[in-house]
Amino acid sequence: MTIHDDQQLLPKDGAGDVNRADVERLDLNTELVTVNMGPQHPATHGVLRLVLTLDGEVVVSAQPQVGYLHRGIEKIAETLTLHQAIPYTDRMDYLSPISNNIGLAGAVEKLIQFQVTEKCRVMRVVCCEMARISSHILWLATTALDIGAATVYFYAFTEREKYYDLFEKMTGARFTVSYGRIGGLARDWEPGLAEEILRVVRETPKAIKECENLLSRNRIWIERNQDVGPISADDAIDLGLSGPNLRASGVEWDIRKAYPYFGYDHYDFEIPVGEHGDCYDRYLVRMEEIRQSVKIIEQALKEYDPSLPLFPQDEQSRKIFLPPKERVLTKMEELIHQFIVATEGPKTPLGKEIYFAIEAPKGELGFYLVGSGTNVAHRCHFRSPSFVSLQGLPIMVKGQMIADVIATVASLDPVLGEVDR
Amino acid sequence: MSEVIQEIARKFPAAVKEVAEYAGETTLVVEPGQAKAVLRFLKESAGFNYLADISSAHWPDEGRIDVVYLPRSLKTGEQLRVRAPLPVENPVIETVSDIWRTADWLEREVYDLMGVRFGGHPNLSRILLPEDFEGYPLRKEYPMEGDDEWRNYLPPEEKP
Amino acid sequence: MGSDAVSLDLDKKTREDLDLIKSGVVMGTVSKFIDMARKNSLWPMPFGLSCCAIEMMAMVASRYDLARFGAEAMRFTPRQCDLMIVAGTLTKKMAYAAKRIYDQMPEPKWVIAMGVCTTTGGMFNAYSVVQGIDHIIPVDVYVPGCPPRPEALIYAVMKVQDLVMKERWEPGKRRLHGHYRGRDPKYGALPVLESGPKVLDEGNPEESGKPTWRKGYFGG
Repeated sequence: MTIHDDQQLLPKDGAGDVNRADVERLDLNTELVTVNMGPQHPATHGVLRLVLTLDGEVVVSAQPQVGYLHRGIEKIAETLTLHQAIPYTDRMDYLSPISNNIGLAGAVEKLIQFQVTEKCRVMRVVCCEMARISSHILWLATTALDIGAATVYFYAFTEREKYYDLFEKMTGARFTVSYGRIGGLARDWEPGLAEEILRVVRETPKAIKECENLLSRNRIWIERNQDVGPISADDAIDLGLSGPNLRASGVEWDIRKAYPYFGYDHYDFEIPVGEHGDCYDRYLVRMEEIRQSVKIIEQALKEYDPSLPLFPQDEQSRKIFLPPKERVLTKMEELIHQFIVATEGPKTPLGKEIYFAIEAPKGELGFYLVGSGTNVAHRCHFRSPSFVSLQGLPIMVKGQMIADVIATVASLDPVLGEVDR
Repeated sequence: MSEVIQEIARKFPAAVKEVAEYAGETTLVVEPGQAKAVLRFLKESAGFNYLADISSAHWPDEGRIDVVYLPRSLKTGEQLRVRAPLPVENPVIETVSDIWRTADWLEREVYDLMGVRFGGHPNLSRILLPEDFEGYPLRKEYPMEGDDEWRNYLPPEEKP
Repeated sequence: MGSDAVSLDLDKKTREDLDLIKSGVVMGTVSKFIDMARKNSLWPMPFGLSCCAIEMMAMVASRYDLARFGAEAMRFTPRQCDLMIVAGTLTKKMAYAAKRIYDQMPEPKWVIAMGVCTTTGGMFNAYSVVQGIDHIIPVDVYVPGCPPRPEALIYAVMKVQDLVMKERWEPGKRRLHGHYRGRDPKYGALPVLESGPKVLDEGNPEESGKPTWRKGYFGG
């Protein structure tokens, strides 16, 4: 689907527009200056460092330097059992932790060839889409703040706090939730939570509209975003961009449609696609994705039946997942069961390898797992979307003004926890 | 999918060592010397225009390091895993960063953490860890913690 | 009825004080006044490194609203700040930047270590992570949690405000710095940059001639 409509596109008259060609034509024989931006900079979304070579205000080259948040998550995950590795995935893309650990759970299930229940799939879809909405809302808040629209920051955070509340009710934690489990989810939903999710989610488009009213036709926003940081579809594919960044360039590619997981093929939703691949299109794509996510959640919650079991009930499957905590504390058999699962856990097949990708809010989050014959993965590689999309930054900002670097970095939505892992 | 593999087997008879299927995914184990030719064929003739991932795995008992490529066609959604086993003593393979530009950083990451050298890479340097880091953390013999880790790590002021 | 109609049994001293207040005079020590001013005008320097930074943003944003406590003037340049909130995992690659930024902050300065990663390395006991920022810089308040809730961080800011009040400003007095593990010979002393203020007596560049890192933690 296209994201532009007449209402959103303001005809540009060019007044006040910086004509970059003019800047280049001036030819002042200026000396090239190398500027170090970061690793501590308010607009680099963490600890990204950019080495910019500038000709006056025009960027000649930009070299991203990453690794300032390299925490060795892959190495740690290879020394722990796969259950223990789940909380580490929370800290990778910390804007949407819930979709990360559900992604790892899905990858392990693919490796051990395990089928989750229908109810679990529905709940996972709802969780992943809620993560997408809350992540995009936070992206909107920080990007608007970077560009100077501080009001949106407060509006957006008001909305995100509602999602924090839902996550807290769902998982017990507000932020790093660790909700995914191999074979299911950590716990069932409380009665009434589904209705509350529906209520909050239905209000979100209104809140987003409020922010859009402040931005989409705002003169400053358009000047700062349109034709800034453009990348063509061919370049985007060649550079491996994924998610909203790829779709803003006009490539209709979504893992949810291409390799449906968790039953995404049952839901009716559209992929928003941009045209120009600039910051403004990336913004429009993300805003439209929020509305599509709301649509998916509404459909999923219709299928949600609280009376169904979250975990499969047969004996073979019960060796995979932990029993419910209240039963562990009262029943002997469940206590033994808990002990066995926690110490042994699911055995991964030796030498078998899988790649499982989910459409995380940032793009394609891939898990490459190699089985070791024990409950520890021999190799646990995470293909993080932010790492790959940062690679496109030098091409996007070349020849642009230095202030556009801020807008471009923000529009790419990199999360440094995920870039460096 | 099978047509592509048959065509590769026909065009590069010495390259394909093994074809493995698991969980609906196809893995093509190729001779490292011919990996680049196979990948170039995939990009240019078979329409695999998108490189999703480059990964690696260290098998200390067998003495090899696998480099794993994941090319994909965005038009058809086809996906293939190409695995090239390298000897652990001298893990060298030709770069594919001139085929897909995304391989640039992905290969640097593999070099940084696993120590595989990519011949012909335009800028093969450490990406996540500092330049003066010793060792390759994702190899199995690298300690998780302890005195052996992060040797020769001195502050910038003291560097000669 | 005017204010004269209110008659209270006040002693002579209080009545004199009230008269002074009416005439616009408040009595007290200057240092107390300065302490109160300093306490309620902390300028935090958000040193957001990872996940905790998002909760730090939530603390400033609409629901938790740090402005209620007089510390919302976040400045991203260390030279304007007096409270450094280190939020997130500090890696060894980033440690130099952290140390440098701390050195650039003018005295007096306070440090909050937000979250377990900053405090002890937390769950990341790995080759690249500094196991606690107090190996690098002294810390005044530690906030547990992974990440801590915004309320916890607000409480930490209030604790720093208490510290400011307790420490009592005096002209020329250097403030006592918080907990600092870097002197542990196992971990070595922290480097003192020549441009930065002299935080510690040990490793003083004027004495040894050049910035010193005692070997140990970073290199062995």
